[in-house]
Amino acid sequence: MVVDVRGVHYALGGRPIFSDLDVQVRRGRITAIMGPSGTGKTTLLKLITAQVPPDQGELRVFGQELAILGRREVYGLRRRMGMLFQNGALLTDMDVFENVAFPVREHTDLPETLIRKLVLTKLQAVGLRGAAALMPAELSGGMARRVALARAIVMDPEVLMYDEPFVGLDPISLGVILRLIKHMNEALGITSIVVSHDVQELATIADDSYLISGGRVAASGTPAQLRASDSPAVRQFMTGCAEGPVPFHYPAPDYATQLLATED
Amino acid sequence: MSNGDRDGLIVEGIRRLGSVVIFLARLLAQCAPALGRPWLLVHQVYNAGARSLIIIMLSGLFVGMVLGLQGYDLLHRFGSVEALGSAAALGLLKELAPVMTALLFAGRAGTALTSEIGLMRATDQLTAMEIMAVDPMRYVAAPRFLGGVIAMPLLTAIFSVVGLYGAQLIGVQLMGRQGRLLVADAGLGRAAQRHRRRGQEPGVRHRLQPDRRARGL
Repeated sequence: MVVDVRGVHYALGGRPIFSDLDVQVRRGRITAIMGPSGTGKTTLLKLITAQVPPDQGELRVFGQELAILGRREVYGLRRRMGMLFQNGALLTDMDVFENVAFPVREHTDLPETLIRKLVLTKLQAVGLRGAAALMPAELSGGMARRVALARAIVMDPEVLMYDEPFVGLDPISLGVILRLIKHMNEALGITSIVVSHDVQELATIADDSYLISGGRVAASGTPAQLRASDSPAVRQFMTGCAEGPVPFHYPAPDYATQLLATED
Repeated sequence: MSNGDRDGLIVEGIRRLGSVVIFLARLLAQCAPALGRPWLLVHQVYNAGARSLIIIMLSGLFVGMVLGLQGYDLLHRFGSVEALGSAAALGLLKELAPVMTALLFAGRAGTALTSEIGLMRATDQLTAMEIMAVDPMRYVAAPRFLGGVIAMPLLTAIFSVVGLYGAQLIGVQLMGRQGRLLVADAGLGRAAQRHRRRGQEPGVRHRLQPDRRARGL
Protein backbone atom coordinates (compact mmCIF):
# COMPACT_ATOMS: atom_id res chain seq x y z
CA MET A 1 0.00 0.00 0.00
CA VAL A 2 1.53 3.33 -1.05
CA VAL A 3 -1.12 5.66 0.31
CA ASP A 4 -3.46 4.71 3.11
CA VAL A 5 -6.12 7.22 4.16
CA ARG A 6 -8.30 6.09 7.04
CA GLY A 7 -11.15 7.97 8.69
CA VAL A 8 -9.83 11.37 7.67
CA HIS A 9 -11.80 14.47 8.60
CA TYR A 10 -10.85 17.82 7.16
CA ALA A 11 -12.60 21.19 7.25
CA LEU A 12 -11.64 24.38 5.45
CA GLY A 13 -12.79 27.66 6.97
CA GLY A 14 -15.42 25.89 9.05
CA ARG A 15 -16.84 24.05 6.00
CA PRO A 16 -16.33 20.29 6.21
CA ILE A 17 -14.60 18.90 3.09
CA PHE A 18 -14.03 15.32 4.20
CA SER A 19 -15.84 13.38 6.89
CA ASP A 20 -14.57 9.89 7.50
CA LEU A 21 -12.73 9.44 4.19
CA ASP A 22 -11.11 6.09 3.37
CA VAL A 23 -8.88 5.75 0.31
CA GLN A 24 -6.21 3.13 -0.39
CA VAL A 25 -3.74 3.34 -3.26
CA ARG A 26 -1.97 0.11 -4.14
CA ARG A 27 1.57 -0.07 -5.47
CA GLY A 28 2.05 -0.18 -9.22
CA ARG A 29 -1.56 0.63 -10.09
CA ILE A 30 -3.39 3.59 -11.56
CA THR A 31 -5.94 4.83 -9.07
CA ALA A 32 -8.56 7.31 -10.22
CA ILE A 33 -10.08 9.77 -7.77
CA MET A 34 -13.32 11.08 -9.29
CA GLY A 35 -16.07 13.33 -8.06
CA PRO A 36 -18.05 16.45 -8.89
CA SER A 37 -16.32 19.84 -8.73
CA GLY A 38 -15.77 21.12 -5.22
CA THR A 39 -15.72 17.72 -3.51
CA GLY A 40 -12.11 18.19 -2.45
CA LYS A 41 -10.27 15.99 -4.95
CA THR A 42 -7.34 18.41 -5.12
CA THR A 43 -7.50 18.83 -1.34
CA LEU A 44 -6.97 15.06 -1.06
CA LEU A 45 -3.70 15.45 -3.00
CA LYS A 46 -2.70 18.28 -0.64
CA LEU A 47 -3.33 15.96 2.31
CA ILE A 48 -1.31 13.14 0.73
CA THR A 49 1.63 15.45 -0.03
CA ALA A 50 1.49 16.82 3.55
CA GLN A 51 0.79 20.38 2.44
CA VAL A 52 -2.12 20.50 4.90
CA PRO A 53 -2.65 18.29 7.96
CA PRO A 54 -5.95 16.44 8.46
CA ASP A 55 -8.11 17.50 11.41
CA GLN A 56 -8.64 13.90 12.41
CA GLY A 57 -7.85 10.42 11.14
CA GLU A 58 -4.84 8.50 9.96
CA LEU A 59 -2.84 9.26 6.80
CA ARG A 60 0.04 7.00 5.84
CA VAL A 61 2.30 7.42 2.82
CA PHE A 62 4.93 4.73 2.12
CA GLY A 63 3.89 3.29 5.48
CA GLN A 64 4.81 6.45 7.42
CA GLU A 65 2.28 8.37 9.46
CA LEU A 66 2.41 11.95 8.13
CA ALA A 67 1.19 13.61 11.33
CA ILE A 68 4.34 12.75 13.29
CA LEU A 69 6.85 13.74 10.61
CA GLY A 70 8.96 16.89 10.81
CA ARG A 71 9.68 19.20 7.89
CA ARG A 72 12.89 17.37 7.00
CA GLU A 73 11.21 13.96 6.93
CA VAL A 74 8.32 15.34 4.88
CA TYR A 75 10.81 16.67 2.32
CA GLY A 76 12.48 13.26 2.30
CA LEU A 77 9.11 11.66 1.56
CA ARG A 78 8.30 14.18 -1.16
CA ARG A 79 11.49 13.29 -3.00
CA ARG A 80 9.86 9.93 -3.64
CA MET A 81 6.76 11.62 -5.11
CA GLY A 82 6.03 13.56 -8.26
CA MET A 83 3.08 15.75 -9.03
CA LEU A 84 1.64 17.12 -12.23
CA PHE A 85 -0.25 20.37 -11.73
CA GLN A 86 -3.27 21.41 -13.74
CA ASN A 87 -1.44 24.40 -15.28
CA GLY A 88 1.98 22.73 -15.30
CA ALA A 89 3.37 25.13 -12.65
CA LEU A 90 6.60 25.55 -14.60
CA LEU A 91 9.08 28.09 -13.26
CA THR A 92 8.57 31.03 -15.61
CA ASP A 93 12.09 32.44 -15.48
CA MET A 94 13.75 29.24 -16.76
CA ASP A 95 13.57 27.50 -20.13
CA VAL A 96 12.18 24.01 -20.59
CA PHE A 97 15.56 22.31 -20.12
CA GLU A 98 16.31 24.16 -16.86
CA ASN A 99 12.80 23.47 -15.57
CA VAL A 100 13.30 19.73 -15.98
CA ALA A 101 16.85 19.95 -14.60
CA PHE A 102 15.73 21.98 -11.58
CA PRO A 103 15.01 19.11 -9.12
CA VAL A 104 18.21 17.31 -10.20
CA ARG A 105 20.36 20.40 -9.62
CA GLU A 106 18.70 21.02 -6.26
CA HIS A 107 19.04 17.50 -4.91
CA THR A 108 22.15 16.05 -6.49
CA ASP A 109 25.72 17.00 -7.37
CA LEU A 110 25.69 15.21 -10.71
CA PRO A 111 28.10 16.47 -13.37
CA GLU A 112 26.64 18.71 -16.07
CA THR A 113 27.04 16.09 -18.83
CA LEU A 114 25.01 13.57 -16.86
CA ILE A 115 22.29 16.12 -16.03
CA ARG A 116 22.08 16.95 -19.73
CA LYS A 117 21.65 13.31 -20.70
CA LEU A 118 19.09 12.71 -17.95
CA VAL A 119 17.00 15.74 -18.91
CA LEU A 120 17.12 14.95 -22.62
CA THR A 121 16.01 11.36 -21.90
CA LYS A 122 13.00 12.58 -19.94
CA LEU A 123 12.14 15.21 -22.55
CA GLN A 124 12.39 12.53 -25.24
CA ALA A 125 9.95 10.39 -23.23
CA VAL A 126 7.33 13.17 -23.42
CA GLY A 127 8.22 13.99 -27.02
CA LEU A 128 9.59 17.49 -26.35
CA ARG A 129 13.35 17.09 -26.71
CA GLY A 130 13.19 19.62 -29.55
CA ALA A 131 11.53 22.20 -27.29
CA ALA A 132 14.31 22.20 -24.70
CA ALA A 133 15.30 25.82 -25.40
CA LEU A 134 11.78 27.27 -25.32
CA MET A 135 10.51 29.38 -22.44
CA PRO A 136 7.30 28.30 -20.62
CA ALA A 137 5.42 31.28 -22.09
CA GLU A 138 6.07 29.90 -25.59
CA LEU A 139 4.43 26.53 -24.87
CA SER A 140 0.83 25.49 -25.48
CA GLY A 141 -1.22 24.14 -22.55
CA GLY A 142 -0.66 20.52 -23.58
CA MET A 143 3.09 21.04 -24.09
CA ALA A 144 3.46 22.78 -20.71
CA ARG A 145 1.77 19.82 -19.07
CA ARG A 146 4.13 17.39 -20.80
CA VAL A 147 7.18 19.40 -19.71
CA ALA A 148 5.79 19.36 -16.18
CA LEU A 149 5.42 15.60 -16.53
CA ALA A 150 9.06 15.28 -17.58
CA ARG A 151 10.04 17.37 -14.55
CA ALA A 152 7.85 15.22 -12.28
CA ILE A 153 9.57 11.99 -13.41
CA VAL A 154 13.13 13.29 -13.62
CA MET A 155 13.94 12.14 -10.07
CA ASP A 156 12.33 8.73 -10.76
CA PRO A 157 9.52 8.98 -8.18
CA GLU A 158 7.70 5.95 -6.85
CA VAL A 159 4.32 7.61 -6.96
CA LEU A 160 3.06 10.20 -9.41
CA MET A 161 0.00 12.37 -8.77
CA TYR A 162 -1.93 14.01 -11.58
CA ASP A 163 -4.20 16.95 -10.71
CA GLU A 164 -6.89 17.28 -13.39
CA PRO A 165 -4.54 16.30 -16.22
CA PHE A 166 -7.21 16.42 -18.97
CA VAL A 167 -8.72 19.86 -18.36
CA GLY A 168 -8.67 22.23 -21.33
CA LEU A 169 -6.81 19.94 -23.74
CA ASP A 170 -7.61 19.33 -27.40
CA PRO A 171 -8.37 15.68 -28.33
CA ILE A 172 -4.83 15.07 -29.63
CA SER A 173 -3.08 16.45 -26.51
CA LEU A 174 -5.58 14.61 -24.33
CA GLY A 175 -4.81 11.32 -26.07
CA VAL A 176 -1.07 11.98 -25.69
CA ILE A 177 -1.39 12.65 -21.95
CA LEU A 178 -3.57 9.56 -21.50
CA ARG A 179 -1.01 7.38 -23.26
CA LEU A 180 1.82 8.93 -21.25
CA ILE A 181 0.10 8.21 -17.93
CA LYS A 182 -0.41 4.59 -18.98
CA HIS A 183 3.16 4.38 -20.30
CA MET A 184 4.72 5.81 -17.12
CA ASN A 185 2.78 3.28 -15.11
CA GLU A 186 3.62 0.26 -17.26
CA ALA A 187 7.20 1.01 -18.33
CA LEU A 188 8.51 2.64 -15.15
CA GLY A 189 6.25 0.90 -12.67
CA ILE A 190 5.18 4.22 -11.16
CA THR A 191 2.12 4.14 -8.93
CA SER A 192 -0.28 6.76 -10.26
CA ILE A 193 -3.05 8.74 -8.61
CA VAL A 194 -5.19 10.58 -11.15
CA VAL A 195 -7.61 13.19 -9.88
CA SER A 196 -10.20 14.10 -12.47
CA HIS A 197 -13.87 14.24 -13.33
CA ASP A 198 -13.46 13.02 -16.89
CA VAL A 199 -15.14 9.66 -16.46
CA GLN A 200 -14.69 8.36 -20.01
CA GLU A 201 -10.96 9.09 -20.17
CA LEU A 202 -10.26 7.63 -16.74
CA ALA A 203 -12.21 4.46 -17.48
CA THR A 204 -9.72 3.55 -20.21
CA ILE A 205 -6.63 3.65 -17.99
CA ALA A 206 -7.62 3.29 -14.32
CA ASP A 207 -7.16 0.02 -12.41
CA ASP A 208 -9.01 1.23 -9.33
CA SER A 209 -11.34 4.16 -8.93
CA TYR A 210 -12.92 6.06 -6.11
CA LEU A 211 -15.94 8.29 -6.44
CA ILE A 212 -15.94 10.95 -3.75
CA SER A 213 -19.16 12.76 -2.95
CA GLY A 214 -20.34 14.61 0.13
CA GLY A 215 -16.98 14.31 1.90
CA ARG A 216 -16.74 10.53 1.77
CA VAL A 217 -16.24 7.71 -0.72
CA ALA A 218 -19.57 7.15 -2.47
CA ALA A 219 -18.32 4.18 -4.45
CA SER A 220 -15.11 2.35 -5.23
CA GLY A 221 -13.95 -0.46 -7.48
CA THR A 222 -12.91 -0.85 -11.10
CA PRO A 223 -14.39 1.65 -13.59
CA ALA A 224 -16.62 -1.16 -14.93
CA GLN A 225 -17.97 -1.85 -11.43
CA LEU A 226 -18.71 1.83 -10.97
CA ARG A 227 -20.58 1.98 -14.25
CA ALA A 228 -22.66 -1.06 -13.28
CA SER A 229 -23.52 0.45 -9.87
CA ASP A 230 -27.21 0.97 -9.14
CA SER A 231 -26.59 3.67 -6.54
CA PRO A 232 -28.39 6.86 -7.71
CA ALA A 233 -25.43 9.10 -6.78
CA VAL A 234 -22.95 6.97 -8.76
CA ARG A 235 -25.31 6.64 -11.74
CA GLN A 236 -25.89 10.39 -11.85
CA PHE A 237 -22.15 11.11 -11.89
CA MET A 238 -21.27 8.42 -14.41
CA THR A 239 -24.04 9.41 -16.83
CA GLY A 240 -23.85 13.17 -16.23
CA CYS A 241 -27.56 13.74 -15.45
CA ALA A 242 -28.60 17.14 -14.14
CA GLU A 243 -31.22 15.62 -11.86
CA GLY A 244 -30.35 13.21 -9.06
CA PRO A 245 -28.98 13.20 -5.54
CA VAL A 246 -26.62 16.06 -6.49
CA PRO A 247 -29.15 18.82 -7.21
CA PHE A 248 -28.83 21.16 -10.20
CA HIS A 249 -30.01 24.08 -8.06
CA TYR A 250 -27.98 25.51 -5.24
CA PRO A 251 -30.25 25.78 -2.17
CA ALA A 252 -32.43 28.88 -2.61
CA PRO A 253 -35.80 30.32 -1.44
CA ASP A 254 -38.89 29.59 -3.50
CA TYR A 255 -38.50 30.86 -7.07
CA ALA A 256 -41.97 32.44 -7.48
CA THR A 257 -41.87 34.02 -4.03
CA GLN A 258 -38.48 35.57 -4.69
CA LEU A 259 -39.50 36.92 -8.11
CA LEU A 260 -42.73 38.48 -6.84
CA ALA A 261 -41.23 39.90 -3.67
CA THR A 262 -40.68 43.67 -3.61
CA GLU A 263 -37.13 44.81 -3.16
CA ASP A 264 -36.36 46.12 0.27
CA MET B 1 -19.11 44.28 19.52
CA SER B 2 -19.56 41.42 21.96
CA ASN B 3 -16.81 40.18 24.25
CA GLY B 4 -16.54 37.01 22.20
CA ASP B 5 -15.98 38.98 18.98
CA ARG B 6 -13.37 41.16 20.64
CA ASP B 7 -11.55 38.13 22.05
CA GLY B 8 -11.64 36.52 18.63
CA LEU B 9 -10.11 39.63 17.04
CA ILE B 10 -7.35 39.77 19.65
CA VAL B 11 -6.56 36.08 19.21
CA GLU B 12 -6.54 36.51 15.43
CA GLY B 13 -4.21 39.52 15.75
CA ILE B 14 -1.79 37.60 17.97
CA ARG B 15 -1.97 34.61 15.63
CA ARG B 16 -1.03 36.80 12.64
CA LEU B 17 1.76 38.47 14.56
CA GLY B 18 3.05 35.04 15.54
CA SER B 19 2.99 33.79 11.95
CA VAL B 20 4.92 36.89 10.80
CA VAL B 21 7.56 36.32 13.49
CA ILE B 22 7.84 32.63 12.54
CA PHE B 23 8.15 33.65 8.87
CA LEU B 24 10.98 36.06 9.76
CA ALA B 25 12.75 33.43 11.86
CA ARG B 26 12.54 30.87 9.04
CA LEU B 27 13.75 33.49 6.56
CA LEU B 28 16.77 34.37 8.70
CA ALA B 29 17.53 30.68 9.22
CA GLN B 30 17.62 30.17 5.45
CA CYS B 31 19.95 33.13 4.79
CA ALA B 32 23.14 31.14 5.47
CA PRO B 33 22.23 28.30 3.04
CA ALA B 34 21.20 30.93 0.47
CA LEU B 35 24.72 32.37 0.57
CA GLY B 36 25.84 29.08 -0.97
CA ARG B 37 24.11 30.05 -4.22
CA PRO B 38 25.99 33.18 -5.23
CA TRP B 39 24.48 33.28 -8.74
CA LEU B 40 20.96 33.58 -7.26
CA LEU B 41 22.19 36.32 -4.96
CA VAL B 42 23.88 38.27 -7.75
CA HIS B 43 20.70 38.03 -9.80
CA GLN B 44 18.65 39.42 -6.93
CA VAL B 45 21.11 42.25 -6.21
CA TYR B 46 20.72 43.16 -9.87
CA ASN B 47 16.93 42.81 -9.67
CA ALA B 48 16.47 44.83 -6.51
CA GLY B 49 19.46 47.17 -6.80
CA ALA B 50 20.45 47.85 -10.40
CA ARG B 51 16.85 48.07 -11.56
CA SER B 52 16.11 50.70 -8.89
CA LEU B 53 19.09 52.84 -9.91
CA ILE B 54 17.28 55.21 -12.27
CA ILE B 55 14.53 56.18 -9.84
CA ILE B 56 17.05 56.46 -6.97
CA MET B 57 19.43 58.66 -8.97
CA LEU B 58 16.66 60.84 -10.38
CA SER B 59 15.12 61.38 -6.96
CA GLY B 60 18.55 61.99 -5.41
CA LEU B 61 19.37 64.61 -8.02
CA PHE B 62 16.16 66.53 -7.46
CA VAL B 63 16.27 66.29 -3.66
CA GLY B 64 19.84 67.63 -3.79
CA MET B 65 18.85 70.41 -6.15
CA VAL B 66 15.96 71.45 -3.91
CA LEU B 67 18.28 71.42 -0.90
CA GLY B 68 20.77 73.55 -2.82
CA LEU B 69 18.20 76.04 -3.99
CA GLN B 70 16.29 76.46 -0.74
CA GLY B 71 19.46 76.33 1.34
CA TYR B 72 21.12 78.98 -0.80
CA ASP B 73 18.06 81.21 -0.70
CA LEU B 74 17.81 81.03 3.09
CA LEU B 75 21.50 81.18 3.94
CA HIS B 76 22.06 84.04 1.52
CA ARG B 77 19.76 86.26 3.61
CA PHE B 78 21.94 85.73 6.66
CA GLY B 79 25.20 85.96 4.76
CA SER B 80 26.07 82.39 5.59
CA VAL B 81 26.10 80.90 2.12
CA GLU B 82 29.37 79.23 3.11
CA ALA B 83 27.38 76.79 5.24
CA LEU B 84 25.45 75.51 2.22
CA GLY B 85 27.84 72.61 1.62
CA SER B 86 27.65 71.41 5.22
CA ALA B 87 23.89 71.76 5.36
CA ALA B 88 23.34 69.85 2.13
CA ALA B 89 25.87 67.15 2.98
CA LEU B 90 24.66 66.59 6.53
CA GLY B 91 21.01 66.64 5.53
CA LEU B 92 21.58 64.16 2.75
CA LEU B 93 24.02 61.79 4.41
CA LYS B 94 22.40 61.62 7.81
CA GLU B 95 18.69 61.81 7.11
CA LEU B 96 17.39 62.28 3.61
CA ALA B 97 19.34 59.65 1.71
CA PRO B 98 18.57 56.66 3.99
CA VAL B 99 14.90 57.58 4.43
CA MET B 100 14.22 58.50 0.81
CA THR B 101 16.11 55.46 -0.48
CA ALA B 102 14.17 53.21 1.90
CA LEU B 103 10.84 54.64 0.70
CA LEU B 104 11.78 54.46 -2.96
CA PHE B 105 13.23 50.98 -2.53
CA ALA B 106 10.03 49.79 -0.87
CA GLY B 107 8.02 51.36 -3.67
CA ARG B 108 10.08 50.13 -6.59
CA ALA B 109 11.80 46.88 -5.57
CA GLY B 110 9.29 45.92 -2.84
CA THR B 111 6.26 46.00 -5.12
CA ALA B 112 8.17 44.21 -7.91
CA LEU B 113 9.14 41.42 -5.48
CA THR B 114 5.63 41.18 -4.07
CA SER B 115 4.01 40.90 -7.49
CA GLU B 116 6.64 38.38 -8.64
CA ILE B 117 6.14 36.13 -5.61
CA GLY B 118 2.35 36.64 -5.77
CA LEU B 119 2.36 35.45 -9.38
CA MET B 120 4.47 32.44 -8.42
CA ARG B 121 1.96 31.61 -5.70
CA ALA B 122 -1.02 32.04 -8.06
CA THR B 123 0.50 29.80 -10.74
CA ASP B 124 1.39 27.07 -8.20
CA GLN B 125 5.13 27.52 -8.75
CA LEU B 126 5.77 27.73 -4.99
CA THR B 127 3.62 24.65 -4.35
CA ALA B 128 5.48 22.82 -7.12
CA MET B 129 8.77 23.65 -5.38
CA GLU B 130 7.35 22.35 -2.10
CA ILE B 131 6.36 19.09 -3.79
CA MET B 132 9.83 18.83 -5.35
CA ALA B 133 11.19 19.06 -1.78
CA VAL B 134 12.77 22.46 -2.47
CA ASP B 135 12.02 24.96 0.29
CA PRO B 136 10.71 28.15 -1.39
CA MET B 137 11.92 30.04 1.65
CA ARG B 138 15.48 29.06 0.75
CA TYR B 139 15.18 29.30 -3.02
CA VAL B 140 12.82 32.28 -3.44
CA ALA B 141 12.57 34.35 -0.26
CA ALA B 142 16.09 34.27 1.25
CA PRO B 143 18.03 35.34 -1.90
CA ARG B 144 15.60 38.24 -2.44
CA PHE B 145 15.91 39.30 1.18
CA LEU B 146 19.72 39.15 1.07
CA GLY B 147 19.73 40.93 -2.31
CA GLY B 148 17.82 43.79 -0.69
CA VAL B 149 20.13 43.83 2.32
CA ILE B 150 23.14 44.19 0.01
CA ALA B 151 21.54 46.64 -2.42
CA MET B 152 20.07 49.09 0.12
CA PRO B 153 23.34 50.59 1.52
CA LEU B 154 24.77 50.85 -1.99
CA LEU B 155 21.69 52.65 -3.23
CA THR B 156 21.80 54.97 -0.20
CA ALA B 157 25.41 55.85 -1.02
CA ILE B 158 24.52 56.52 -4.66
CA PHE B 159 21.56 58.66 -3.56
CA SER B 160 23.91 60.74 -1.36
CA VAL B 161 26.49 61.23 -4.11
CA VAL B 162 23.95 62.21 -6.74
CA GLY B 163 22.14 64.41 -4.22
CA LEU B 164 25.39 66.23 -3.40
CA TYR B 165 25.98 66.70 -7.09
CA GLY B 166 22.47 68.18 -7.38
CA ALA B 167 23.16 70.60 -4.52
CA GLN B 168 26.48 71.55 -6.10
CA LEU B 169 24.78 72.04 -9.45
CA ILE B 170 22.42 74.65 -7.98
CA GLY B 171 24.67 76.14 -5.28
CA VAL B 172 27.83 76.45 -7.39
CA GLN B 173 27.04 76.24 -11.10
CA LEU B 174 23.78 78.19 -11.01
CA MET B 175 24.11 80.53 -8.02
CA GLY B 176 27.85 81.06 -8.35
CA ARG B 177 28.94 79.73 -4.97
CA GLN B 178 32.63 78.73 -4.96
CA GLY B 179 33.00 75.01 -5.66
CA ARG B 180 36.17 74.78 -3.61
CA LEU B 181 34.38 76.16 -0.60
CA LEU B 182 31.34 73.92 -0.94
CA VAL B 183 33.55 70.88 -0.68
CA ALA B 184 35.56 72.41 2.15
CA ASP B 185 32.36 73.40 4.02
CA ALA B 186 31.05 69.89 3.87
CA GLY B 187 34.19 68.69 5.54
CA LEU B 188 35.03 66.54 2.55
CA GLY B 189 37.93 68.42 0.93
CA ARG B 190 41.65 68.33 1.63
CA ALA B 191 41.50 71.78 3.20
CA ALA B 192 38.90 70.59 5.65
CA GLN B 193 41.01 67.61 6.57
CA ARG B 194 43.98 69.91 7.12
CA HIS B 195 41.85 72.04 9.42
CA ARG B 196 40.74 69.02 11.33
CA ARG B 197 44.29 67.95 11.89
CA ARG B 198 44.95 71.40 13.33
CA GLY B 199 41.94 71.01 15.59
CA GLN B 200 39.84 73.57 13.72
CA GLU B 201 36.26 73.18 12.61
CA PRO B 202 36.18 72.98 8.81
CA GLY B 203 34.34 75.82 7.14
CA VAL B 204 34.69 78.19 10.11
CA ARG B 205 37.51 80.08 8.46
CA HIS B 206 35.29 80.84 5.51
CA ARG B 207 32.54 82.18 7.70
CA LEU B 208 34.92 84.50 9.52
CA GLN B 209 36.70 85.59 6.37
CA PRO B 210 34.14 86.20 3.64
CA ASP B 211 35.24 85.44 0.12
CA ARG B 212 37.90 87.95 -0.87
CA ARG B 213 37.09 87.89 -4.52
CA ALA B 214 33.52 88.79 -3.71
CA ARG B 215 34.79 91.96 -2.02
CA GLY B 216 37.00 92.77 -4.96
CA LEU B 217 40.25 92.22 -3.06
